[in-house]
Amino acid sequence: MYHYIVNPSSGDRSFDGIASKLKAKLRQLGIDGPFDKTIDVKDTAKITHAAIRSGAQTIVAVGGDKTVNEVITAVNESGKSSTSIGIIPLGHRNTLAGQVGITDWQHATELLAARRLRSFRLMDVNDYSFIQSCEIQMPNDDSLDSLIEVDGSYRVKAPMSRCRISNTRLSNPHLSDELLVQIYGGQPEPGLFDRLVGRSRDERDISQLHARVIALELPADVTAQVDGRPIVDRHFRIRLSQKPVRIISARYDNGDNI
Amino acid sequence: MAKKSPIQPDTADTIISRDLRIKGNLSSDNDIWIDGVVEGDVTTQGNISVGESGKILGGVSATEIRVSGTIHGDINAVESTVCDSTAEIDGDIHSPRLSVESGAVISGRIDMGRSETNEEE
Repeated sequence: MYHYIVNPSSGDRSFDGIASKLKAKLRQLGIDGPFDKTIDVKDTAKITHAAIRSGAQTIVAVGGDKTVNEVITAVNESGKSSTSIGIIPLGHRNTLAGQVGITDWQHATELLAARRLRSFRLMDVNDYSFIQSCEIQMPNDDSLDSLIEVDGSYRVKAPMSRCRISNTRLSNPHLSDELLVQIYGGQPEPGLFDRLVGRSRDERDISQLHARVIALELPADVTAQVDGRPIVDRHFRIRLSQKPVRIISARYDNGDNI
Repeated sequence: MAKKSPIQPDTADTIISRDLRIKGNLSSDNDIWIDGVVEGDVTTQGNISVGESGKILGGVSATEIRVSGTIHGDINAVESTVCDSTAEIDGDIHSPRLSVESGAVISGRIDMGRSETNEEE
């Protein structure tokens, strides 16, 4: 049984424009189910938990990255590891859908019917879960010295303008779940003019580490974008969660595309 | 002419850039490129390249090791070690194969005998 969760305010209210076509397509494929609209983030958890209690085996996030993150977090909190997660991308930010090979809402419906599952381990940052990326940007591109403890075995000190943490397995299904930590050094990010004339950041200014758990201590409060959700803090503990989530995607776990 | 490094900065799995300073032991299963400073031992099942600005204050163990920077510690290579003309090594080198370019500075013993593990094989 499928249960669909829609954030009606995501993107440019694009759900209203396709709602009837989407529901018809789902009926045609035999995977229709109840649609619930959310008002705020707490609704997603309430709706997801209620749907799982009433027997839903697949919770489908209809919206952008933020909606997907809310659904994934809620399914993870429910502790029901057999529940699968589907994605129907709508709105502007659909990075995760792209990473699991979903091109648009029509493609998503076909994948939901085909039910190809990939397991990923979530990542936890402080009290939040995420699947895609945690991106910490220093204010005004100031390169402040930051301290990162990696796997409890070594400490990294560096002037950092940006730090991005993601799961290596998301971009390459052949790799194991691991934190990929990319540290952008003191060099300022290329501006619009630089990008227009083809100037990019010196790759030698980017460090790359692999880890299972990292702790960041920053000199000031900063905003981390966690799958599109902002978190403000100066201490971040990021680790691979023990719990996997199962996402319906365009690739099997062995990497074959469909 | 210098041989090509077994790894390149854009293909290495772990990259320590110039501004990075690491305190503690770094271990990995994959290739490591070091342009920054590591105060501790570096161990990997893959290969290690130490760039000209790279500095390791500790021992280094890997399959293939290429040094263009500085190492203050012992080097243990399973297969080979290459010291470029800018290399500065203060420590012993244990490596079945060794190539040293003119200009490299090595202060320590060099042992090109097979390791015990290799002899058993």
